[in-house]
Amino acid sequence: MSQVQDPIWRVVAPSALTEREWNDELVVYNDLDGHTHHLAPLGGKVLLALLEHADGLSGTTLIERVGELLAIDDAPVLAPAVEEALDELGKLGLIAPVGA
Amino acid sequence: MSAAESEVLVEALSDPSSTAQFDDPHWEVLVQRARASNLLGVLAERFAARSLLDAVPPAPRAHLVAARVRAHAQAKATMRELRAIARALADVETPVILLKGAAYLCAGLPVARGRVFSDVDILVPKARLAEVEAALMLSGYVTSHPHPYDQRYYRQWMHELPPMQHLQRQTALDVHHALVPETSRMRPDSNLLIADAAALPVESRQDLAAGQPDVPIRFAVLSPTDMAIHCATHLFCDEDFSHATRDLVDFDALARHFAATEPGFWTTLIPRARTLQLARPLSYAIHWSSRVHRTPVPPEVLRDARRDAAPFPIRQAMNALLGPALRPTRGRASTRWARRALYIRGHWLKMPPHLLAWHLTVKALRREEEAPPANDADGDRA
Amino acid sequence: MGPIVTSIRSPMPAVIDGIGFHYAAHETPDADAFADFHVQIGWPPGVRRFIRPTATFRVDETTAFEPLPANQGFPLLEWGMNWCIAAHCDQYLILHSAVVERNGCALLLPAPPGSGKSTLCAALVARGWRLLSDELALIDIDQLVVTPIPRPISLKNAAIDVIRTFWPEAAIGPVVRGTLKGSVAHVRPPASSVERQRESVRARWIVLPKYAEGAPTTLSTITRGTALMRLVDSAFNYTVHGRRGFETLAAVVEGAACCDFRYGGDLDAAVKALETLTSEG
Repeated sequence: MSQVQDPIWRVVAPSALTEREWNDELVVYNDLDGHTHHLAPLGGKVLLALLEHADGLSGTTLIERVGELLAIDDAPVLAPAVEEALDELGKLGLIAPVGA
Repeated sequence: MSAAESEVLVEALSDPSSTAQFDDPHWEVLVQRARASNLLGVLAERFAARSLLDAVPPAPRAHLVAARVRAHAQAKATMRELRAIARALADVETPVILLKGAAYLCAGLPVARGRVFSDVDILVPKARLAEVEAALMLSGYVTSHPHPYDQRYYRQWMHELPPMQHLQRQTALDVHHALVPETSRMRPDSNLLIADAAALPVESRQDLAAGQPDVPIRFAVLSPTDMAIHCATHLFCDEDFSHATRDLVDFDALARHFAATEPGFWTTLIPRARTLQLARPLSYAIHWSSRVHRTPVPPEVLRDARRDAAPFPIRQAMNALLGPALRPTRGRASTRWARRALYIRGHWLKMPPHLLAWHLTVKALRREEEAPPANDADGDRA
Repeated sequence: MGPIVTSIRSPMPAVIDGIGFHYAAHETPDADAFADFHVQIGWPPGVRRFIRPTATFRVDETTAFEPLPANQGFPLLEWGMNWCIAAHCDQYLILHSAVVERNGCALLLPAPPGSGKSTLCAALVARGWRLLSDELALIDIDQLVVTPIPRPISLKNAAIDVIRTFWPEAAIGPVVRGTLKGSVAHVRPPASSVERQRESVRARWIVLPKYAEGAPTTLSTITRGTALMRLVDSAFNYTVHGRRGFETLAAVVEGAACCDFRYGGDLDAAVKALETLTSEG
């Protein structure tokens, strides 16, 4: 699988983040830019999954891992939602594709 | 307020334990003076460094604690800004010298502890100025002085671009190509400064690269001697003396630190300042720092510095003004008047008389049509 | 007041009378006591005083705001003191919020201007709640408690008469008309609240009030994440505290029930709803 289709994503600065998980929501403070974010359930799980892996995860692996976290075993349904969450977290400056 | 009371701040800065017998009115004067001079954070860190914060009575201690929190936040904000500047200049292959607060912070110097930071000041080679400005504008910095007269004033006569401000973050950035204005009688060669610049310590480079490992960090700082000379120049050549008290504290702290860590600091200082044509301001800084803060200047350096002082009667006149201007008593008439006189002098140093007259006239006329400028604005100015 | 001592100098009768009326229950420290801020409400220099009389606010020898018409001297003093605290007291995490206490726990009413938080605050105080502040929640970062700073409650426009009707015994000062915020009047803080100004308490309820004319009173639970973001928005100095600021607000939210509160003109119903909320568990 090529890099372009399935890039590896990682958290930009794991040590800068402080997070609180309350039920299905995640709030996270990023000390790198001083911003605080309130993430929807899926976005929160994606970030937590990436925080578990300092070297990052590919989109495909992420979908599996998030499926486990949410107890949803339906990759085709999850895939577009995870893509969207990755895009959102990227815009917030929390994660970035490796080598970008 | 008696003269002795205005010494309270200086005394407490150099020896926090001098406050041991303070009563409430003493503490009140100390906190007020420190706040008015933007030195509350520095004072707090000096108490903390000697584990004396807990010995301070609760009411004044609250102010010191608050000032530490604030100073810490400003240092953080400065690092954030520097990361953004590094990103903006990623494709411009030029050395970027950090000046003043940002330099003290990144160089890890004790003078940065508790200090107030506001604008970031950088110095780049004049030949790269246009590229740097363009790259900064692309990343969202805009000029904060759109008036055509201001633009011409800066671009023709000054040593910096018109101050820039980031559109979203509202942060201020001064881009210099020299330490003093083009029109000034002193002409320090920026190439000499850049050639001698020092690299940042590893920890600062790592901090600046946090979250952006691929962004090149081209920041450097002035060499220890040049940093002290620039501090003196900024203090004694600027027309704005509202930061004079703080700047003299900076000079004292830099001198003490470099004297202890840089072999030959004192012996190279004055010759270097002469090479840079900045011996006069350095002479004032050495004189006043040793007089006000008892900076341990070697006697032969003090004597040597005196040779660079202005001739009689200018020296006497300057010293008469500098005494009150350096005092942390913003509200007192003598301080206000001395600072006002030095404002005119600062412009006199920047430009020949015909330009000065023209500039002050335009400023005066424009003041009529605009809202009054914030005379007591806090923070750095270059 | 509370943890703050302010030295105030003013030649203006409205300011002197205002202080005498509103701060009657506060202690006056010795002249020698440590003052956190030195505030002067004064006339402009020279003849300008007689041409267009204005009041200037000076703190620590510096003019802090644009002068206001002279009749606004007392409101100017109150706004100025709020500014002093919000701008300097970074030993606290400071929220733009009313704070009242019942049964040993604090209720925070964080809200932007115009949401009726002062009206609600005055109504609760009228029903015996203790006033900690109608504007500023000073959160002690180490202890996670709210430090009281009981000062006059500032009422605007229609709220002045609403409170006169709801709380006939309220000690309301003169109405100052034509301010930037319209007509303003202040309610003297009850002596019982001032007496207990050294008693800090934990926040147990966070209620985000929103006034909508004629709307029924509704209290609805919100998630902690939503509440946290609202507290972040209402804080004056959240960014100054960085990571600790986040941790502090997260802990406050974790220790409190968080609700959205919509209410219309019925202050009785509003007070009753909040009494029910704060009587549970």
